[in-house]
Amino acid sequence: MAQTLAPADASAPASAPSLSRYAGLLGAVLLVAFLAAFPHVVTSSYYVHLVIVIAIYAILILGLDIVVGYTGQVSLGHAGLFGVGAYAAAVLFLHFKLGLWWGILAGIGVTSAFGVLLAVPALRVTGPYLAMVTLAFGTIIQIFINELTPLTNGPLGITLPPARVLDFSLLGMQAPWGAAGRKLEFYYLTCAALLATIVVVNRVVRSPFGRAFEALRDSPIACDCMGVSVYRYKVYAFVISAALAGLAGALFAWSERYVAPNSYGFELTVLFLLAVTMGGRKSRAGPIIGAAIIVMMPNVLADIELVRIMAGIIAAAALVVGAMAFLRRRENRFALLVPIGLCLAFFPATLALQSVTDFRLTVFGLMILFVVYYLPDGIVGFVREVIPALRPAHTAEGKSLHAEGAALSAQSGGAGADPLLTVEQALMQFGGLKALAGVDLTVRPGTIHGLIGPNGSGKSTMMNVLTGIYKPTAGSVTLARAGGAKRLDGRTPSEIAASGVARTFQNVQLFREMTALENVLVGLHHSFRGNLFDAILGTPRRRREEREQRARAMAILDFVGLGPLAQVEARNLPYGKQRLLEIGRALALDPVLLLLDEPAAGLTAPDIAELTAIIRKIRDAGITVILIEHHMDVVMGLCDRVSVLDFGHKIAEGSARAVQEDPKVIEAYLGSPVADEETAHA
Amino acid sequence: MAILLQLIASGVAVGMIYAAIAFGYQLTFATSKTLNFGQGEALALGALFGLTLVPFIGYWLMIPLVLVFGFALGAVVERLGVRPAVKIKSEYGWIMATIALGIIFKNVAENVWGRDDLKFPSPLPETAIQVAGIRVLPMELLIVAGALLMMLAVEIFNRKSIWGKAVVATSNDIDAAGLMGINTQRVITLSYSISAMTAAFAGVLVAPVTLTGATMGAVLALKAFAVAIIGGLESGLGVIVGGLILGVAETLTGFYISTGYKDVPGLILLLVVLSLRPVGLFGKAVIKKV
Repeated sequence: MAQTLAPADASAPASAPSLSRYAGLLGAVLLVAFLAAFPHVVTSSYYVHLVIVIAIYAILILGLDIVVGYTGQVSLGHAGLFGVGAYAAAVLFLHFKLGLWWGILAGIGVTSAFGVLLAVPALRVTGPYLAMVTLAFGTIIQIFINELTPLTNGPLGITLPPARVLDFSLLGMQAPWGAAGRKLEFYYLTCAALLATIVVVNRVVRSPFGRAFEALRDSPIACDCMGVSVYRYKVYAFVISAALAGLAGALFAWSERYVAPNSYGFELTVLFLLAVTMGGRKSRAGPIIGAAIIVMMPNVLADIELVRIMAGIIAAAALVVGAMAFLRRRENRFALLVPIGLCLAFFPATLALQSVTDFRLTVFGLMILFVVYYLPDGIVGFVREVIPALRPAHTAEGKSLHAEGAALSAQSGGAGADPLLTVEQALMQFGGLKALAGVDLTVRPGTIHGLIGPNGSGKSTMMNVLTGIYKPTAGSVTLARAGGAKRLDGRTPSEIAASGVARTFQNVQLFREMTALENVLVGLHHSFRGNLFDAILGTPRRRREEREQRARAMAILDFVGLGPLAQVEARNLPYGKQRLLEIGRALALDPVLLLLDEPAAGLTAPDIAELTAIIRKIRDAGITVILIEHHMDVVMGLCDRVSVLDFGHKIAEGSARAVQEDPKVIEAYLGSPVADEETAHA
Repeated sequence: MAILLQLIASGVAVGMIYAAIAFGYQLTFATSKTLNFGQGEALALGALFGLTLVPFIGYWLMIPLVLVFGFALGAVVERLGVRPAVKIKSEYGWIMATIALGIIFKNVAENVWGRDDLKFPSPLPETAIQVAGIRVLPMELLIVAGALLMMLAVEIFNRKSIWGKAVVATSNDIDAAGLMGINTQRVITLSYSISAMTAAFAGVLVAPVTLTGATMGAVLALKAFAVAIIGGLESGLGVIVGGLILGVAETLTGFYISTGYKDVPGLILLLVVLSLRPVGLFGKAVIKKV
């Protein structure tokens, strides 16, 4: 590994992935052992029930993590989805006397449908808007549960009998584990559901689906331009998340044996979010830890002695941390004063209070504030920070990380006479401004076509029109393909990407929290044939594809010279390498046409040399390149043909040399000599 | 027809309350692209604080104190919930932090004022007066006048005073405003203060016609967000139109369908507007740059 190139903490030694792979396995074994043994060690049915509730919440929170952690959206509607699942199961029993298993099926099915419904507004909005939309959704659910009395029994709620997990009477026999064992059937069912959820979520997030989720979080626009439809994958994320919420809801209804509208309100939604953030996003252990915390917290708070002891410990710890910070003159010592003060004040407050149960929500609120500001990556994130061996092994699957197979699939065509791309009278109008005022452009296959012009001349607008980010006001864009010409204007960015047009971005748009290899794998998304069920079941087809594509991605990384940095997160790469990675990611689309938007901007001279060599190699592989660039030596050295834009008009076109000497071009860049004289005299 | 007019008249009053809260959302969104998810709790706290003061100094003298209270509350929210999150550029951070502060406020209010809804003494006679054949409560007239006056006052402040101009400048371009020597950090705090002040004032306006309690604000605030969306988070007085639409739609739903579904039209409207036109009915589409 080229340790010199990678930032110190980012290049994990070769042994680390395997270690963290074992850590995950070890965690799973411990969890299974714990769950299996718990009811035999602690026989109190109260605690067994507590574990059931934790497991149910964990299922929901694992699903919530897909939306919050992986796609980066805030959902305040998950308590509503949980309620839908619970009511689906309960209503099925109330009206049709259908039991637990039907309830689970209905819970998953109905809630998934609601997930689709919720995804519709969620497609268009993000951030605070989405938070409010999901909050409104949750509130509506609660109102309808309350008001649709004939269906839901209204505010009275529905009471359910004890769940019958396995019906031995159908087989005409007694349960082999006796009456005591029967009581644990539901416990083990819930545990099995939790383990199944962990497996499913694990597989989904490591599949092309999971990579698409992360990609749309880090850069929706680049995601679309890689042929991965942001819309479609947001729906997938919401539906998977909703299905798990439905499963959890149905189990919850049968475990509590009572459902009522008020159990699924805003407070619960916030608790779920607290759990996922506090436990740690983008992990399996995090949601389980978070679920345990939010379930146990009310019990802990009910015991005032315990609270006082804990508050004392917290105050002592805060005192130590604060004293250390001041003794060592840490930079942030004054910023630490507020939280330390709060931690200290908490202790006398608990001494003064007879009961903290009434202040339960205040404690939860303070926990949220604490987590948001001091533990943004949650407990799991914090532990990973301290113990690097526990960091996720991004590429644990597919040990063959050496490059094999061709990086670029050779494009047919070569230097033909017919143009590959034809732009006719492209007009792009923003209000009164014509960013493109009827530009014609023809690009011949197998060439590097330069697109230059002063700032504001319309180059980037042209790029955005070509890739579908802008819909041109008028004019046409046609791409010649083997099966005949294809109109590109009016199509979405992901459709255009799928027809073989790839691009890079002026301001780097990498998927920052994903490794270099994963970035390229998102580009290779189009070559995965497996569907969601392949991903969930881990079919042989899916494994084979993953292996092949990883090898292919590795070859592409080698091609752009990033092979040794495959496991480094994109945000930790040096700037020049980020630019190369963007090119590599674009190449993964198997494009016929590659659009490079100022690839040399901000690069050092050696980086530029490396870049020009790579662009030449790309052209030699038969891929046509359109190059927007301000470095004239790069343009002059590389381009077979150059078009010059100024104020939305094409003012010159021809070979690099001819364009360089064109008086109109010189005027556009340097101003006209006559005008200068006039201003000089004025 | 008379019933319809009557319903519209009652809808107008509640609509103005939504408009006032939504106006508060716009203020903070304009300066900092953030908003207070605990706006409803600011409203409830304002009403409860006012309720405590009324027996001592009466309704009218209480109002300025409630305004000061709201002003201070907004500053606290901004300092504790928004500023640190904006500093680390965490959208998730300020959403969660303002929600957390809202929960804390609500919980504290429950412990101070109790969990039961309280009756807020009305400053005006509670017998309806006849205006052109429609029965109107004097308090409803006060709500409409008060909310309009509040928004007008803030608008005048923004247009005439130097601090208001700083708010407008920061809303237009926070970086340029900062470079021109405006302390944008303080402007954001100010916008939060004015926002919470508006909410607290809306609280004491609405309290006499509804019940007062820690939970009174949550649904109001959510529906006010719907109004802010309909009006467009960036567009000045679209909220009054939005508020009126929603207020009337609600009273009509309450009368013709069921009071249980009274909150539904606002929420549905929110979902539909955001699904079809995320920038709001009166908002302008933004051109994304790559």
